[in-house]
Amino acid sequence: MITLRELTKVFGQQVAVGGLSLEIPAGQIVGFLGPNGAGKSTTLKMITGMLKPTSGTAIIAGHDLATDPMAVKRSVGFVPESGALYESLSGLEYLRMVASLYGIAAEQADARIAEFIQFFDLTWDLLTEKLLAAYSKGMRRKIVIISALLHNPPVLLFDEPLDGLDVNAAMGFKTLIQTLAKQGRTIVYSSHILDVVEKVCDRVVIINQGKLVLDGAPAAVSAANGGRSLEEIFTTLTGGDQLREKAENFARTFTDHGDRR
Amino acid sequence: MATDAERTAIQRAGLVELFDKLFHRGRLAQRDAKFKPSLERRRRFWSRVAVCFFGLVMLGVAGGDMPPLVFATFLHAYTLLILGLGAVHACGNLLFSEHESDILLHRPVTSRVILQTKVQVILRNLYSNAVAFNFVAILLGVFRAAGSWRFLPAHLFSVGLNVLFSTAVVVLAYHACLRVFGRERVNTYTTAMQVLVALFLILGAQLVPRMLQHEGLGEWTNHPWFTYLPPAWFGSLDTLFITLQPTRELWIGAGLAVGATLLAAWLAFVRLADGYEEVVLALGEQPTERVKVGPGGRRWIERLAGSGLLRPWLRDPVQRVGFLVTLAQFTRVRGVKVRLYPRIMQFAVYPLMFLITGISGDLTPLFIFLPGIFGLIGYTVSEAMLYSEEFAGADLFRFTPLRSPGQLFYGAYKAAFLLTILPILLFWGAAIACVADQLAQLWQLVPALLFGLLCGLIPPMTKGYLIFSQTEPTGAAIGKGCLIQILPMLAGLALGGVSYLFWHLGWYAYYLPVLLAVFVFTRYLFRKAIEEQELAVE
Repeated sequence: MITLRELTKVFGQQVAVGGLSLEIPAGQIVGFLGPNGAGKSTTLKMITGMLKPTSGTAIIAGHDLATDPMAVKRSVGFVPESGALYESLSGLEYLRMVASLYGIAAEQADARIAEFIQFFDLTWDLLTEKLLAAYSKGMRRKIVIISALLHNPPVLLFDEPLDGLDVNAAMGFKTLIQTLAKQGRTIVYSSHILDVVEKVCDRVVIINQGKLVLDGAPAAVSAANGGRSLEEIFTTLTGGDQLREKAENFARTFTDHGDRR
Repeated sequence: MATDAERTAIQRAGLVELFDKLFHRGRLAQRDAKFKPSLERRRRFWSRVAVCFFGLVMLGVAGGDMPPLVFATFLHAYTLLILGLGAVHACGNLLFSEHESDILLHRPVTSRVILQTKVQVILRNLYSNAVAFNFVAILLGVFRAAGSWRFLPAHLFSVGLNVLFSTAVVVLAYHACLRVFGRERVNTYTTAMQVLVALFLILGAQLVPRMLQHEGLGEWTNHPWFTYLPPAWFGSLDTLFITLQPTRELWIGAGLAVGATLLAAWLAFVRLADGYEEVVLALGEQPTERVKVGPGGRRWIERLAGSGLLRPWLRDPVQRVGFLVTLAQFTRVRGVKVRLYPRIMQFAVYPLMFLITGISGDLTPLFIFLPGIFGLIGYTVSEAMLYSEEFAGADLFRFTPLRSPGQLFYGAYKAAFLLTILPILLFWGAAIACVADQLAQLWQLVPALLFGLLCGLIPPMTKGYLIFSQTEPTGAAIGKGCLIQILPMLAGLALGGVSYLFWHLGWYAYYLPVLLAVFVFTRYLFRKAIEEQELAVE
């Protein structure tokens, strides 16, 4: 469903993503990990057609990004990390606008939105009478997630989707994406919360400085690394293996400086 | 299943509806807790009525009979300013929005369609505003100034061209800013542009009517350069239609109106359309370039606060924080700058008319007026220091162990004094020094300065005042602020009158120490009241 071949993005002198190759079949949830600035968001933006790759190819749901970007965009649902939305629209206005961009007529959109409202524990009154600026962070995140799923895309890309969601909403969301994957949708899940990735994803991909450094099923990866946790493997691969010692040493400076109250 | 054509039609309709709402609601709606989408139609109607009323006021202050060319040029000059302001606002909010890339660019819609629908919405709304603004003027033109029914179609057409021209020019200016300065600095320059257009509008509103009423203005139209001023292009087009008596100047003006508009529109909406996606993407990305720093890795703001001149003034560490935060907000935060500078400049340039009359010798009205003006400036600056789009940052002061917001405010007020009150004082000092018979008259600025400084202490005496801790003021807060501002104005006028009386009687040398003592005592009381305020916890 997603095929990346030598995908590269260069900004000026800086290589954000350097020759990334990946094959993600339908029905798989892939945890897409990496430290800050590793090139995760840049890769996701290239897959969604928001950024033009410097070189390489990306085939999404059978469509070549270079030759048919509109078909790729129709096949993809994306939750960006920023969670940006138009705050001066009400929730319903925003979702109707998103539906119209995928060519969904207003009546069809309303019927589908009503189903999402029920699932995400939102109310129609809230969606019609309040502007998004007045929503809580969790409610805004729910609207962004709905806007990614509204057109029923075969490929879903999530960048920190649980940010702001409460425990119940997060649990519901995780179950939802696992079920969607079983239905044959391809899901790329980018997050820094490794526990969730370990539980939800069928496969883990770690990139560092724009390069692929690890690819495999969580259990297999752990077994191949002496039974270590994903967190430990991640820190070793991304140059953070001295973190514990560094933190302990720094904590000592608090005692050295005394109580400043 | 929708066909491609149906899908495109749904997309376009959705985008037009979206951008229309964004155009009308802007940023203010986001901060207004009482805003309800269902009440929007009524809001739009009253906003058009307000624009129409503004047009009426503009005609009222212009007054007098004018020849058709002067009348039409005058209308287009104001329309151009109103449109310029609207276009700058629309470009910032709609055309070059920072967060849009994450919302729209991964959807199946081309950047060309996005640009086209935005331009359609901007032009339609600016045209409606321009027609509302010119509504009374059109009636006046048909029945009086031009005396011809042809003024109606002519002016509606030329206003349309004016809309297209001003929008295209602002879009081109945005593109130029992006290309020349890069995305890191584009917000700084576009904000400066927004402030400058607002200032130009305010100055124009103050000075143009007086210049129009000035004797011999009709002569202006005979100057060769008159034809080459943009408002005169559109005015020439109107006049050509109304009089049906073409002259070489009228043809040149009308030709420039059509030619310049078409060229600007082609460049802005056709030639640069392909680069639009790149621009929107660039705006959404975080700056990666390093900022310029001086010796010791400190930026100019920190260097200024630590300079030998200011260090003793900012000994208190909390005041120093207030000072640094305010300098940063006043120089870097877009909303703060756009709200603050046009408002205080409006007051700062208002006494210009008294100075113009003072050139002929009498500065009395200016000196009576100045304390009130400085009072308004002081009050406005302090009130503006309450609001910022970065209001969440003020939570820092709520969870750090500060007992009162007073020390923070004092530091902030010192920064505000350096950036706003002091330059205005120096401007007026220099202007008076050029016009006054004797330099001793500069002493008459002292009451204005003292009164301005005192008025700045009024807003923080109110409960809940904490610098840069609130979102944009709502309509109700703005209305309340306007009413409260009348008090410093009236008190300032009274002080100006009394001060002038003592000057006139030759007792100023005795009056000034007394005034200074009253200032010190009042300032002590005000500061006590400020320091008794507790930090507002929401």
